[in-house]
Amino acid sequence: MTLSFNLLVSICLAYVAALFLIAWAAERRASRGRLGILRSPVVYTLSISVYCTAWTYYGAVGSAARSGLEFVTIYLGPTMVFVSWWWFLRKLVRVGRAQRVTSIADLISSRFGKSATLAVIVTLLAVAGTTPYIALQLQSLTLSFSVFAADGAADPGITALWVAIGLALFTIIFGTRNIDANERHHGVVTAIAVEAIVKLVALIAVGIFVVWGVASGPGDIAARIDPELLHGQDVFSGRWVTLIFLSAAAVICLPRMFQVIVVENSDERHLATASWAFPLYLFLMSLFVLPIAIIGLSELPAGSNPDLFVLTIPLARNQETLATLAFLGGFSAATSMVIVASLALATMVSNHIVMPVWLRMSKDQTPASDDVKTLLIRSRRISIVGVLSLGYLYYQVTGGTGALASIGLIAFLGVAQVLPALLGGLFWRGATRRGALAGLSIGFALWLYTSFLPSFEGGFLLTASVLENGLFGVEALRPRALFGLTIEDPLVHSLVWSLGANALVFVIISLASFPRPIERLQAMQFIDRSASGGARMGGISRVTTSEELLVLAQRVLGRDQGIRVFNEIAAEQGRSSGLPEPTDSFIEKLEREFAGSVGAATAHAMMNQIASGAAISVQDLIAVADETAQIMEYSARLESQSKELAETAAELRAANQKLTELSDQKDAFLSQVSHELRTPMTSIRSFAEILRDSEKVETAQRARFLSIIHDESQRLTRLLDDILDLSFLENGQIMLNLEEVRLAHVIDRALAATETLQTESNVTVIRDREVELIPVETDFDRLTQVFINLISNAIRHGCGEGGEIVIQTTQAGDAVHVDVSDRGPGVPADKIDLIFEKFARLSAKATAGSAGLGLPISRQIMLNLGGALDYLQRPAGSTFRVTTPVSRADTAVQSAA
Amino acid sequence: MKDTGHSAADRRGQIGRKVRDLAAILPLLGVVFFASPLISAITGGDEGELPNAVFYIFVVWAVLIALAFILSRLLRSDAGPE
Amino acid sequence: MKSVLLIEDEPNIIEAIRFILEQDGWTVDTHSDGADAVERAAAVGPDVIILDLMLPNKSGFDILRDLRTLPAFVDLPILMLTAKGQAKDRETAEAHGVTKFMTKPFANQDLLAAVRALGD
Repeated sequence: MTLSFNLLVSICLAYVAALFLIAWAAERRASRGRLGILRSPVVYTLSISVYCTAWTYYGAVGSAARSGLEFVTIYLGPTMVFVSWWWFLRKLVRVGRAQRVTSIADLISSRFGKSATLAVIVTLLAVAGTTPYIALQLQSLTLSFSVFAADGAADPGITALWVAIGLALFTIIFGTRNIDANERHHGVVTAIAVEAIVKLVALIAVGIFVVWGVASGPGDIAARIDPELLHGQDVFSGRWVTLIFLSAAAVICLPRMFQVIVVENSDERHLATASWAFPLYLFLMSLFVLPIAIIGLSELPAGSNPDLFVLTIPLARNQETLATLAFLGGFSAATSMVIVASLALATMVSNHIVMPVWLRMSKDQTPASDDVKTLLIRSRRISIVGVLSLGYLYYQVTGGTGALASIGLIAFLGVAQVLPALLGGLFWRGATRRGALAGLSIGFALWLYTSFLPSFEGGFLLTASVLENGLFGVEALRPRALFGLTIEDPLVHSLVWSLGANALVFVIISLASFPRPIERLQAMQFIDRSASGGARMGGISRVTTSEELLVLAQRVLGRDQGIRVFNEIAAEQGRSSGLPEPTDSFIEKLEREFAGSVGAATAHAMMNQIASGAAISVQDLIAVADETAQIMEYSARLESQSKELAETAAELRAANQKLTELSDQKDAFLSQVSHELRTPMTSIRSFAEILRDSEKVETAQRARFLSIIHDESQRLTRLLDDILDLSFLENGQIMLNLEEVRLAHVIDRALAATETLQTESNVTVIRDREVELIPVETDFDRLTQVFINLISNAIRHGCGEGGEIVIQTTQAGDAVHVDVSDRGPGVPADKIDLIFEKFARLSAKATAGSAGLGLPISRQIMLNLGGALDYLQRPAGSTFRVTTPVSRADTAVQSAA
Repeated sequence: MKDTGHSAADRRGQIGRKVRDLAAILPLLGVVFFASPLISAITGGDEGELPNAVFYIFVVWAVLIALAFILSRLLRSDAGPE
Repeated sequence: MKSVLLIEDEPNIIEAIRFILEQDGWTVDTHSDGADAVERAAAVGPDVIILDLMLPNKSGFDILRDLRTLPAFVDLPILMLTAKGQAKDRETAEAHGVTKFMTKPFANQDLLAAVRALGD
């Protein structure tokens, strides 16, 4: 053994560096969108070979040396699963991708109505089943190191620790770059594919060396078969079938296998290649296992560890290069398994345990989405470290004992507990959450009791006496002969109990319970998916009409929001009106909008539902939406939604209050209108009755009464006109005849209209007509109306006999200010707000002949004309300021000058 | 269409169905040849010699892989957009 | 000859009511501002008061309430005339101690009958 430990470590480090480089290059290619080979079926198939761990790489030869052909079962099970890809794996991958599952726990939980409890149970099961498996890899690695470093250069514990740290680092760097399940880990997968090639080449190289280098061909090998191996081994027993079944179950249920087969799958057609290529890989991996075992047994000294024949045969023949290659093969097998397993486990632990707990703890705060993303990545990283620490701890506690050797199959049985729920979920519509929960729990418990805990041989929880005499000394509770069922092989015994009870309870409870609406919907999604063929995989069929989608959108998003989204999309498609084309991008966008309301899975389900014809009622969909809301209780989305809801409620309250106020205002207005109308009507009726009933009315008096009736009738008409005018103005329903006019002309007209009033009160108007020649963009008649109102107000309220009215015009940028001032008493400060209110009259004197609508109307006119009417507080008198925009043409001239 | 029941499309459909049926049967073949008493019967069980059993298993395995290869070729066109 | 104090701000209505009542032989005093209406009533000492509700500076309700606090006016017949004919105005008026409540516009005969009844 001339190969030094240090050199070996250097080779390992160089190899790992190369892997880093490959993974990095792959990530780079992927980030540039040049996926090419990264998405080829070859890479996919090679990544699936993460199934072959160090346990199979080294252990297959060991197993062959001990029990002959039995090792082959571990490969035959997966072979059968893969040749049945057309009706099984394809469906699994299809469902997994469509539901965007991130792990097997996610898949089971998703199928049974997003049950959080189920996800936790499957996650725990996966952790319990995988942790020892990781420990096994660490043990294989340290063991293979120790073969080279026979002089004891390194403490195996330290080696294992460094390996664990290195693997954690690699997984964190390439496994947690992004968190979306749809984003695949190209770096990791590519590195795994390269490692797959290394381990196959290494094993075949050793095999060829053994068959033609050590022995002289296959015939020689056959002749050297150990007599013990040659005969008398009933391998084709119950254990044989059990192992085939277990490995078949494991290749689907193991977290890392689910990760590479389903989560990392980028195209379901890759399965077609994998269906024969992966069995071929396994075939090649196992081809030389028996020859190596046979030669190892015959060549190496008795007592050599058959688990290390792959390394020790080349070393014994001083083939250091080959031995190093073999070592790298084992190293590849171990590292790829640990990386993918810890990645898959970390995803589960993080998604189903860490995040819910964190969200529950921080329920009061509303996390921003960035926070959630950071948190998710952090929790995955922590989970990776946690999983690897657990594996390392397990290795430290049990390392070196015989317990580890059998743990591989025990782990298989553990994860196989998921099988009934998985198969039932994919193929049996009647499977319910309760059934899955009960079956999994019982299977998990029985597996722990009959298989996992006894594997410590009394070292953990179950003492040796319990193993021997049963729990509490009750013989029926002996872990290896439960209820007196004596099956010699403990693995078969445990399988019969745990998986049997699991499946039975699952079926019985499912039959006895009723699925909730969301389960029914998910069941349809899972079960009908492949039945309708591949056409719908890419998205939703074009048969879907936009009308149907609009109906659904309005139900989910609300009427206005639904229409808004449709209009936006129609505009993006360049349609000025009508519904958008149901293109894929449109449907995707719509689904994203839905996801914001009801969650991704339900949104997707709803969209697909529309496409596949409404076999489910709208009521069901609404029920699903309701339940989804409950399910999302711990999700960040709901946190923000409830905030939105609170805001909506507040808005509703505000709107309601505003409506109430408006209603009150309307009542007050009507009451005032009624009052204003009744006043002239009172005079009219009263005098009319006087004229009708009294004969003693003098002629002069009669004429006077008639003229009062006449005046009051006119007042009534004016009032009605004003009210109508105001109401049109307030609603902006007024037709404006905008044109360019000279301000001076407007004021001329207004002064002419009030001439009688001026003469009666002997009022003088002071103005500067030159300044008023500014052109303004306005409605001549309406602006005149405003000035008439202001001037007559000034005459009535502001001037005594012989008073003065000053009209002062100034230009301020794009606007003209016209101030109409009188020298009267002015408006008291506390009444200023009132004067623009309808029917506001400040003094008894003011009431004569006016209903108090002049100023409100004038102000409304100015607002409609794009200007304003304000009261300016001056030391004496009252000043009203009219602001009106100047003509645009005029502004242009001015700015040019 | 009932008088011209053997149109080209119809024929392709029938072949496609046969291929899919075969795809469903393939794993069953695996079960029959690998995980049933048949395996003991053919290899001689306790009495048989190891090389015979190895030969049997690897040959059946290889045939299974070859069939899967052919099937995947036939089904791949089928798996594309319909 | 009995006297009426008419507190009302609409000149034309004042003229109508004055004509109707004077024809029937009543003495009619008028007042059209809310602010000093109570003082005016105390000065005139009428047999009946006709009170408008919407008055400048002080509402009819306030005048009514203030009048009822004075010993001379505790039992004096007060007819409230208003153009605001809503039920709640009538209730408010009754709560303030009005004797009779009428809405504008009115029939001259009804007004006259009401004043006669109050004057007796």
